[in-house]
Amino acid sequence: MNVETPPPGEPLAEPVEPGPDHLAEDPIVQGLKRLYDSVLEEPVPDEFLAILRQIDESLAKAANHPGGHNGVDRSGTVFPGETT
Amino acid sequence: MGAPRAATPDLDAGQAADFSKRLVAAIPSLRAFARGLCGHSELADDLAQEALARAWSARRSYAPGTNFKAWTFTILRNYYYSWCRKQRRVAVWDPEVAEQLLVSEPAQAGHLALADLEAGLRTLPVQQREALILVGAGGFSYQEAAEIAGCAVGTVKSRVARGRLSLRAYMEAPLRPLGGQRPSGGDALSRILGDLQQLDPAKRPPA
Repeated sequence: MNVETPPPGEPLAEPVEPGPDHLAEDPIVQGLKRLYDSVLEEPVPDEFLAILRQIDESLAKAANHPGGHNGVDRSGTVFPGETT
Repeated sequence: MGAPRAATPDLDAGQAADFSKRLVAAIPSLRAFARGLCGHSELADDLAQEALARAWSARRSYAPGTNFKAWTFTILRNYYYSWCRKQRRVAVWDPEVAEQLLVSEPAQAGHLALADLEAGLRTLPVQQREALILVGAGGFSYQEAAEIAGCAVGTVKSRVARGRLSLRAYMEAPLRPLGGQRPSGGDALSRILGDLQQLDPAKRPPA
């Protein structure tokens, strides 16, 4: 009999990797997580502020169509569409 | 991540403000992902800033309700890969930075030396680094990581498995010569190790 499909339990070509939950027990993965978390905990460098300012400027332009309920509170941002 | 479709209207002011808040909240994760991906803190911040700006420009192409962090990570990794192609290499290696890392974090009893681990991470093919960081550190599922990396779920699993084996071998090796051959690396690692010997210090991406 020529069986085309592998029977149940046939080993896969690639080793079966345990799911992410099992990964968490691996010291290597724990080390990678600590590396990652150490960056998360760093203060955001000032260079990022320049990009946020550009975004603010875009936001100001978008304010020609007001109606947002969740405005970003950044002092000094005056929407051009608004009367002061 | 495709360019925004021309027919898609821009976000209104409220949506844009909300989007901007989510971008700001994503900055630390973008920095951490970039650091693991390229192995160089200054380059990582350049990548993260570029990803931030690109994500804002592409805000119309974000599908509301989908994983925002994964969307920004996709932008970052796509930019990094295209940057690497421009540099004609995918292994970023700066011996001076590596040396600083080695002295900046002394080994602690009971813990892996993080600097050693970071150095080991840099010896992996970039696809394995990416898979390991996304799944092992970034908290993404295999499925999400596959979507970010643009590959099959099985490919992500395979990359994670091979990356773990190579990293473990690296960490357990008594000596870690830069150009040395390691038993479990395979062709890709051998190629990267060969490349390391002729790399210039990491170049910066275009401003």
